[in-house]
Order: sequence, then C-alpha cells, then structure tokens
Amino acid sequence: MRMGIATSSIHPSSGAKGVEGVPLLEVQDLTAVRKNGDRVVEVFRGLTFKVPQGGRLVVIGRSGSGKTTLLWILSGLLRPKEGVVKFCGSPLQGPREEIAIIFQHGGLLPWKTVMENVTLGLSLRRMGRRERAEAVEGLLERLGISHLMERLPRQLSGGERQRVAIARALAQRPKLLLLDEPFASLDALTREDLQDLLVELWLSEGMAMVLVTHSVEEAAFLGDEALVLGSGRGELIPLGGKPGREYRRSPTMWHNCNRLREALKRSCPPKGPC
Amino acid sequence: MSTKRALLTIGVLLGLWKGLALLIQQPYLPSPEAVLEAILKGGLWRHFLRSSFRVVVSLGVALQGAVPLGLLMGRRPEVDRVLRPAIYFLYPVPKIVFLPVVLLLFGLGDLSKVAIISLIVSFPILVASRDASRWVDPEWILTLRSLGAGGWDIFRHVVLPATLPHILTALKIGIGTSIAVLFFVESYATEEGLGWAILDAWGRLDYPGMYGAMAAMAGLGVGLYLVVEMADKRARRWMGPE
Repeated sequence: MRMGIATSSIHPSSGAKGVEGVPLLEVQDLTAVRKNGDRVVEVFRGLTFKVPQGGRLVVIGRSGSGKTTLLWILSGLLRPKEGVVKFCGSPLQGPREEIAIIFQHGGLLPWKTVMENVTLGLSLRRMGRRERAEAVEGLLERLGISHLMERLPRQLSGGERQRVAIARALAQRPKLLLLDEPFASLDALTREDLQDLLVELWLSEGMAMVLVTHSVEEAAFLGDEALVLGSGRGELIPLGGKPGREYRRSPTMWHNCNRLREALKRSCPPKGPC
Repeated sequence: MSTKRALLTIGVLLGLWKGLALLIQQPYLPSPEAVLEAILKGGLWRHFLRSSFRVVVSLGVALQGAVPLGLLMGRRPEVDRVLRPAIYFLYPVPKIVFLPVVLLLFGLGDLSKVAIISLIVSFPILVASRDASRWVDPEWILTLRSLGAGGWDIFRHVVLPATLPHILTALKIGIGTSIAVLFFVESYATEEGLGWAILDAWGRLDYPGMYGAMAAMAGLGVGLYLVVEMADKRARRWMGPE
C-alpha cells in the first residue's frame, strides 16, 4: 500500500517540543560489556553523540558490534557499564512513556488481538476500553490496519505485524522512537513500503528516531546521521538526505550508501575482533 | 473427537462387553443392561458427588500451590537455586508412601484425602509450570517492560498466557493420577465415595452395583478431562489450528 506524504498529525496536540537548547538525547562516554561464557567482552567504549528533537540517527555495524545493546540502553531497559544517557537534559533511569521501542520481531503478544496489542501500553495505564479505542482510531487508520483489529498476530503477514508494532509504539506518543531492525525479515517491496510509511509518520509526528539496521540502503534512506559501530568509539557520519521517494532514486542516496560501505570497512579491520 | 465418533466408540465397547458377558455367563461379568439398571436405581449419586468434591478440591489446591511456585522458580533463578535440589530428590519418590504421615498430620477425614491427592498431583504441575515459564520469549517481556509494566503486569499479560497450555497439559495428565489415588484413599475410613462404593458392592457380591460404581468413576474422569480440554482449547487459540 502506498500513501501520499501527509503531514496532518495523528495526535493533534502532540509534537515534540522540548526545552530550548537541550538536545532530546545526549549520550556521553557510553561503555557496554557482554558476558561471553566466563569472559567479559567490551562491546563498545566511549560512545558520544546527540540526537536533536526530531532527529534521525541510524546505527549500523556488523553482527556483534553492539547495535541492539545500544538500543536497549537508550530505551532504559539496560544499564550501561559506564557513561551517561540524558533524555531531555536529565539522566535516564529506566523505561519512560516518551521513549518507545520496536523490537526486531515486533514483540507482539500472540494471545492478544491487534487491538489489544496496540492499546497494551494504554491499558497498563488503566485507561478504559472505549477511551483506548478512541485514542488509537486515527492511528490504526493511518497505518492501514483498522480492518485487522480483531485478528490475532498469527493471522497477519510479516508487514502487517510490523505495522501493528509501529502502531503500538506510536500509541504512546513518543518523543523518541527506537527501532531494532524492524524490517529485516520482510520482502524488498514491503520493506520499502514500510520505510516510506515510517518517513510519513516522522514528518507528521515529529518524533526523533534511532534505528538499528544492517542494511546500508535502509541506513542511507532513513538517517540524517549514521553511527557506524565496530571498534571502540564508533564513527559518526552526517548524511543529510531529505527522505522521500525522489531521494530513494537520487545520486545523493547512492553516494551515501557508498560512504556507509567505506565506513563499515574502516570500522572493522581485516584481522580485527569482529 | 467428534460426538459421532465418541458414540460409535462407546457403542463398540458396549457391544464387546455384551458379547463377552454372553460368552462366559458368570455373575462377575454382568451384562451392560444389568449394570445400567444398577446405576439407574440411584444411590450412586451421593458417592459420585462426594468423590467429585474430593478430587475437584484436590486439583484446585494443587493448581493454586504448584502453578505460582513453579512460575516463580522458572522466572527467578534465586528461588530456583534454593528449591531445585528438594524438587529433584522428591520428584521420583512415589508420594503415596507419605500417606501415613499425611494421616497423622491431617486425620482420617476428607482433609487428609485431599492433602495426599493434591500432594501427588502438584509435582508434575510444578515441574511443567517451571519449565514452561523458563522458555517465555524475552522479547515479550522486554516489550512489557518498555511500556513501563511491573512484575504483576508481566505475569498477567505474558508469563501466565504463555505457560497456560503447558500447565493444562500437566493437569490433564494429573486428572488420571488423581482418580487412581482417589480410589485408594476412599478404601479406608469413609462410607461415601465411589471407591468405597466399588469395594462395598464387591464385598456384598453385588456385581452390577460394583460395575456401576466403576462406570461412574470412569465418568468422573472423562467429565473432568473434557472440562480441562475445553479450557485448553481456549488457552491455545493463539497457537493456531491443530
């Protein structure tokens, strides 16, 4: 399903306004470790970056470079070994309503219907059934899943499942949306559809995004900045594309893909630890 | 199983029974009609109800004790570490040997009967809940945590629905065991219950009455099984058609 670029917001009163001058997300000297049997292995060290209101950071790197770990730290689900994550200027203590995360497989609960999955966060906050339905009505329509409300996840296609996961995340009205390879298991066309959809939602909602991917094309298309993980501090690469259908086929896009490929090669020397 | 096939199976079994009864012509194998007559005479009802009461309460007690403990062990390694050795050594012991201890603790009445049945049925349910809860997809739990859910919400929305089918499977197996133990504990210190009715009829050489009570016991088992089966179907709806 293809939709035109619409900029009317799903949540009329939302829009990510924050304190002037303070970046939405600020990461300083972040270090994470992972247990490998009895050994403790450093995943990355000294990561430092900022994401402004409405920014789009893509995180790319080979398997084991700590992409998912980083995302879990940014969501407040995991504590870093060292370093600080500041959200709206104050240190992140744990999961927060303004930060939504979409997991690789969508994380849909298979025993709940689409509606129950989308409104899960709202029902945890003790919102009544009718209120919940009203709150997500526009969102479901926007994502093209209104007709699937009573279905169970097993009755959905891969693309539909990820739409539901996106709906659940956006029902929280997040200022920051974290995505962990959300389109990795989809076919090429469905993948592009969902990338376009994500861009439309970003344009209308104005939330910031941090997206983990191992696709160079996806990174180049969706990011205005890329963080290439691989060794130690990682490398930040400004991309500055204007996402949209023209950009996907533009020389700038391909140029950015090549820059990312080069950065990936640099991030992991031939005899390196990756 | 469809109703048609169920009826057909019962018909075939009754036919075989009738044939065998005609063939050997002995009082200890009465014909199906004679047994039906004994059942319809009434009198079995109060035994049936008393037995149902004992076994249903026992299963309820077993579920309420074993499921929370099993899930806690599965989800909390520190609890598992403490209790695991005890379960490991007690599991293979036939719990029926604790009967004298249970009698000393709870007396000769229904309390001790319920206690021993639930003790025996608890173990497989405990182990099933523990092992099932250990394999809950971490992504489901992370999703709940990222939405700000606490321990109770995670239990209610994820751990319980994910493990329920496995718990109900253990319960289905437990029903057979519980009826067997029921017969045993109804053989002493009671004058009510199907177990007692079977032994009493046997002693009086009332063979149709004996078979009637046996049929009622089978009916109790099948009835309970059907109820759990229905709950199980509902609990597994999300897994897809069989």
